[in-house]
Amino acid sequence: MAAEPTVRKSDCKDLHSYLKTLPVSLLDRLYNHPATCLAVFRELPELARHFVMRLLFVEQSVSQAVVSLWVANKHQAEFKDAVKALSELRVWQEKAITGGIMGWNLNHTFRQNMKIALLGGGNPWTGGGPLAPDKYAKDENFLDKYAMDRWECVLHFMVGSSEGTEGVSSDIVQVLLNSGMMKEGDSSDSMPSIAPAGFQFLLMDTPSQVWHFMLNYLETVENHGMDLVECLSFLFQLSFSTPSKDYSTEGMSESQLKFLQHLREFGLVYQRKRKSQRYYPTSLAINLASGLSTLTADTRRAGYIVVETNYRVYAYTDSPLQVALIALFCQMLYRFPNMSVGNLSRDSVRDALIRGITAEQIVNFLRVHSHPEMLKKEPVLPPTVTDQIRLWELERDRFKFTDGVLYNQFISQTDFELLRDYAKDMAVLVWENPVKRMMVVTRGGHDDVKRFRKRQRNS
Amino acid sequence: MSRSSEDVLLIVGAVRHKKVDGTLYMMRERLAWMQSNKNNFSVSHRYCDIKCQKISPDSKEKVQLQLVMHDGSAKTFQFNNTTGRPAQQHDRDSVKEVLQQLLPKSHQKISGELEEKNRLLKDDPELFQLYKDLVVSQVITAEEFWASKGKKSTNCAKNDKQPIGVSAAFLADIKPQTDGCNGIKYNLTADIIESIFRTYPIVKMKHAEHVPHEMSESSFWTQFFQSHYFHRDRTNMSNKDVFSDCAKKDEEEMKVERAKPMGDLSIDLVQIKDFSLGEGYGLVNEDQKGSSNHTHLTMIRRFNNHSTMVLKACEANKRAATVTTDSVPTSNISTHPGRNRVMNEMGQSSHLEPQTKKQKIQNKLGFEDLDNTESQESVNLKLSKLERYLHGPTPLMATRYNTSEDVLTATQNVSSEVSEWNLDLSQVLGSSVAVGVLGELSPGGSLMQGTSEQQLQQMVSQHLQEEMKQLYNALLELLRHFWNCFPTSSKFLEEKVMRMKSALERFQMVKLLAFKERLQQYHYAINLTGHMDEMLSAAYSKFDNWQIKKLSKKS
Amino acid sequence: MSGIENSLLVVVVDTNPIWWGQSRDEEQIKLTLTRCLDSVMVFANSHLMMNHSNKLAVIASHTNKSYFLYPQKEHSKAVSTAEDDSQIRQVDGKYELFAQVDEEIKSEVKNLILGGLEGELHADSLLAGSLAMSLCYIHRIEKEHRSIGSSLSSRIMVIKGSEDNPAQYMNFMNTVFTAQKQNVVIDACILDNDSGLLQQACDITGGVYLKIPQLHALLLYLIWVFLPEPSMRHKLTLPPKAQVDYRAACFCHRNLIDIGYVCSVCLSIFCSFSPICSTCQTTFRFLGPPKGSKKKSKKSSN
Repeated sequence: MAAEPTVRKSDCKDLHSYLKTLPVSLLDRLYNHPATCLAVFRELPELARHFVMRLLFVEQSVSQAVVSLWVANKHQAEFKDAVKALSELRVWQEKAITGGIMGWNLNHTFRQNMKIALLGGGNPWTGGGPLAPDKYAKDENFLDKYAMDRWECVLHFMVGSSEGTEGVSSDIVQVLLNSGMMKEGDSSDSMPSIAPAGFQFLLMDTPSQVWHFMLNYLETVENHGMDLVECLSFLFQLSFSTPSKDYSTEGMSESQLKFLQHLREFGLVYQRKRKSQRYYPTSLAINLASGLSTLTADTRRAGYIVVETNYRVYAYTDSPLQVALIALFCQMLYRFPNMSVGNLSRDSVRDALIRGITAEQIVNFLRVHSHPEMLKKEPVLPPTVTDQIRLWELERDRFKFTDGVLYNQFISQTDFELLRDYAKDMAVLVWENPVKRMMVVTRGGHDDVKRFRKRQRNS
Repeated sequence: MSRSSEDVLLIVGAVRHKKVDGTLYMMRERLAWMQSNKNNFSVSHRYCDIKCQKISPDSKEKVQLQLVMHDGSAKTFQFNNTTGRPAQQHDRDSVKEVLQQLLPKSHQKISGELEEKNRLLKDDPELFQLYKDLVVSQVITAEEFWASKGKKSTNCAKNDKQPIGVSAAFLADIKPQTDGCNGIKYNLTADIIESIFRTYPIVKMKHAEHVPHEMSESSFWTQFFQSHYFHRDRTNMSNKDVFSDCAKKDEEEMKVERAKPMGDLSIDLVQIKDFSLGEGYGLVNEDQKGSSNHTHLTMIRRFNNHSTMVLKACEANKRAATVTTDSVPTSNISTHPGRNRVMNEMGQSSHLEPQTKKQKIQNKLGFEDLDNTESQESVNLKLSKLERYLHGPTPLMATRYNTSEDVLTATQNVSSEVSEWNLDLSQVLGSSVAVGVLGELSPGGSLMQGTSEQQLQQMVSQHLQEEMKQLYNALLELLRHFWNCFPTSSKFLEEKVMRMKSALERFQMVKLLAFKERLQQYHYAINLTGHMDEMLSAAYSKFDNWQIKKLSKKS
Repeated sequence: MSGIENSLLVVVVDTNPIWWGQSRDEEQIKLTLTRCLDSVMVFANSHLMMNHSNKLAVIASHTNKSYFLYPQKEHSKAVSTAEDDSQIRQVDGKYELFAQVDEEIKSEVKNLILGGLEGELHADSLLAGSLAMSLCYIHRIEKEHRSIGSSLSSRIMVIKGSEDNPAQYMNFMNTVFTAQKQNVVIDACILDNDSGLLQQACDITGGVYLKIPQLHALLLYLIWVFLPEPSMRHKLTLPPKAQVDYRAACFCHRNLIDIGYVCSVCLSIFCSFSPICSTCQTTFRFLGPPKGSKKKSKKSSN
């Protein structure tokens, strides 16, 4: 999360910027749960974290001048960032202290709940008494595998591969459509297809994908009649839970239970049966707050693609998802147990381009997932291939389409010229042919030009 | 430089100066003339002031010697020995010779010193600054300045220069200039003459003998060169000129030289054959050159002689340096051209020879690396109280003595405390306490002293720092002079202490106070000149103590 | 990913029962061992709270042994979880991980203190041993981290009340230099008398040495001064570093001296001249210190 906003694409929001968008009242309500406070705390810049720690036990306002002296002169820029972050998230507030000096005071609820998280007190995060030992207790490996399986289902669905798509509910589809990562198929019964944003999404590592997905999901939460604060609190609570430990569903509100079912679908939570009284958070959920990719994600990210100058693409993988990803822009030729071969052809790339994927995205994907052997070369990808992919993209740009309205059958040349000059002055003229007395204006300019023509006719 | 320490090299009586009779004294540093029946020198010149000496030609009636000073003035002394003209001439010659020896020395010295000082000042800008501060502003005199500085600098500069050898081709390098007709002109420099003297000691002897009373400088050299041509082909000798016997003497010396035992006994020069083994592919080449003509032989001999002389000249320099120390018996080479001495030395060295020989042979036979390396007995270090190394630099503190009872109650206290321990962190830190500590840790609090202070280096401008450095330099130099005077063992030092004290006071008034006044404009929190003031007051108090002691001693 | 700096903090707490149990008369507000440990727990948890990937270890430096308070040894942990799984369940709003840390430390401290002590009791703690143990632990964790390709910066934080033990000097300095070589920073928070050894340790490794003036506010000092990572410290205004006394102690009286006599054979240090070195029995041939030397040095120092 906080640690790697740079890794993510610019259009992906991090927690900080997401929280900033929330209304003030909502923030205050969020801080009612220790888990959110912890999450927000970890999201803060390092200096800001130290400020919070220093002020945590000081139950009164501290003069702003004093706080500014805590930081060495050389690092005033960082100090300003920290102050800004703290103010934006309403972690502290400006408050006048005696003598008209402005001071900083920690948000009361935030302070209370931070203290609860750190020192204890307050209510347990999960309701219900101690759970009896689970006879179907699951170990970490199982949960990891379960989570990855579920998550890959979503990805499979996105790339349109047939495998395991049956588990994807309409809610997930809705989220994907909302986020613009997929778009509706042309006909009502056809499956949605991946959008450019979706391709970018596929390029990320798993934790970033989960986080990005969850952000988009949260935006739809209120449509499902769930409380955003409750969901957020629960999500953070999950991320601060212990791996391979069961938690009780007792005491959870209606919307939280519904949320739990959704999370189960994404693989963030394991629940043996829908009605089961216990759930296990998976590594996906726990990593959500950590922003740290797990070891499995790391190994997966090791490259597996070899691109040759003859446009052959070799993918050393057995994952159908990865093969499906490559199939987005490759014409697949052979498939072996641990390797697939595809061909970058004009048609296959054009198909991808038509779907809104850019040449740059394809090249980037190939480069990021290059096989370690490929990485030894400089440049990593054969320049002929990358150039050709870009040329294929340019090829599609030979035509430029502009909507317009055709004006013709002018009675006289002067009539035509008058109108044409008007359109030209308005900068709405697209095309003209004085010999045939025809002209095209943009759709936006049509109204004006039509009115002008009417006036001309009337006069 | 008290008078008594001046050793008189030569006293010549009956010397007239300005038509008054008197005595001429020649001392190590100067030349003086005392009017007879008076007690002080009416004329006194340091050798370094004398530019050159002139003597009257033999044709003149009076036997005179004129000294030309650097400032252009001249002093004329007439030798008026009553016993007659030859005696007068002898007197004059002896003076002339002493002067001849001494003048170049003092010239070299004086110019060398000046140059050295100039160079020092140029090379060391700090020293130059100091010189300007102290000498130019007349705080101390130049002599005092150099007396302390010079010691340091000359010490390091004194390491002997290696004498420059005589170029083997120096005679060839003297380019004769033809004057159009048949004559040839030589330009001789002092260097060349020196070289000639070194290579041909006989020529030097001759020069001393004949110049300037028998023939003039130029005629001597003309003859020399004429004879030199002559020398080249020694086959027919004539007794015409001064140099004719030189050849003979050379011959003799060569013989002596040849008769001398070889320096290195392990080399048998007689056995050495002058052809390389590979020549003629092993065919024995009968020595056909054995009957080469006489001229070649003389030529080779001359070459060898020349080489010997060149080597000797070098050796002589070395010897001169180590003349006080016992000469090593192996050095059979004499600096003196006189034969007797050579014979003496030979005799001396011959009885030392077996020893040397033995050692030489030993050196040749023994190889150090083949020797059995005797295992050296090493002394084992026996250390006692090893634990002392292991102790840290913690002073042996009077640790609170713990009785066993104390220990028991303490442990019980802790045990009971821990057993009753309930985890309740909510009260771990009170707010009021936290506020107190916050004050302590905020800048300006009791724990944060010294964090906000700027570095002195950044506070004081570069310019002021420079100036302060100069002041320090000057002051330290003065103080060094001042403290050097103690203990005041001589009258001179006592005087110097007084002078230094006033110099310090002047420094404080003129330089330090002015600097202080300027510093006041900047309002520095720290007294920048404090240390200098302290140093000065330390010097003053020392001076006062010294004076009190001196007064008490007197009374 | 490389931007994330994982940080391992090893807290060494002095649990010497003699020092803690000592009846301190009218000393401000008494800081008991348990209250100190409370502060240490909060501090340790604060460290864990700062970053998800932060690691923690707590070692008790006892009078005759060093003891891991957290994390527990693997096998004992397995036993305890099987026994009372429910114990770790959340009882209040405290973050589970923190609760677990606190519980473990508490139970281990009880084990240590109430478990009884065999052998002699000393007024000083086995600090050098604890530091060495910390370094070993740090080394192990760093190795694990390296194997999965992430970096780890480690530091040791010592909270100490009891006296220095001069006998530990060699071991102590060796560990300090090891720490320096391993880029491990040693911080020291001193509750009672200043410790010359720790002053040097902090100075050598670039850590912070602080003798706290108000014992009952221990936690705030910890959070304020010792919580920031070493890489962070230059950005904050922290108490200035004190001048460290590096003087040597003479072998004869154990006085700290500026100038002394060093045996040219065995390098023993003495505060006064003696013709025979008492360590190696070397006899010095001259009949005493050169007469002039003392005078000269005096003069030059003027």
